[in-house]
Amino acid sequence: MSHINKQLRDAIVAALGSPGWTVSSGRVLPIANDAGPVTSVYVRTGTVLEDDQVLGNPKKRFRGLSVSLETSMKTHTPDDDLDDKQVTLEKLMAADITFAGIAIESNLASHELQVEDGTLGEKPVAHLFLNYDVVVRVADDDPETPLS
Amino acid sequence: MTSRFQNHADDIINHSMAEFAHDDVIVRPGDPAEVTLEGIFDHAYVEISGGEVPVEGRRPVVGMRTEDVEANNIVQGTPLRIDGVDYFVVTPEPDGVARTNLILNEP
Repeated sequence: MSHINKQLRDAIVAALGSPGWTVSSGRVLPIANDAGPVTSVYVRTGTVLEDDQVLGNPKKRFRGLSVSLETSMKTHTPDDDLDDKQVTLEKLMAADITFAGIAIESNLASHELQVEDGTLGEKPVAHLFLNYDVVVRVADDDPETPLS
Repeated sequence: MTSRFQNHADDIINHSMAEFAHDDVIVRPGDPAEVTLEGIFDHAYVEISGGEVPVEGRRPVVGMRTEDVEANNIVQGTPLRIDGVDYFVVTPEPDGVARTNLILNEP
């Protein structure tokens, strides 16, 4: 078993399957020059929420995780290329919002496209961020077992 | 009238070209206006950050005589070929005296 964060990342990578480019559970530091587009799936932050009026210890609590899917690529047409990637990623992420039972639910919270200075490399580098709010539930003493 | 400073700058660029310009820069390859000029090519490693995930890359730059750049109308978008690799000029960066660095992209 592993922490719920890692299980969630791995479950998202499994849900994305083979979309036609590389998908990585966690950040790749740095992305190799000839790697092509890479989507890195990582948990940015987590907020622990009180559960519903349940007394006792250990408590079982919901956690709101902010999960980012960051897609980086070199391209002269960043808007077109990353809009295409976004279509694919959004559809795959919406297909099962529990990611095989790891999560309670998942919602796209925000997205952003960032393009770097085109004078820095062989081609301009662009990053697409899809930020999801994902709710999971675990016991305080067992952050490895997802609860429903 | 050419200033003494300009003369020195021209001497320096000519000397450095003679010493270091081992790269043929083919300007507008395949075009009737194709011409081969001297340049000092560099494509050093660069790490492009901005997102959470940095990306490795190379920064292709060729340094040329400003007078060559101007005489051959090398501007943004001009295609070049260096060591068999095609590039185009993203932006020319003249030093204001004698040398212009052409920042390149691959198509």
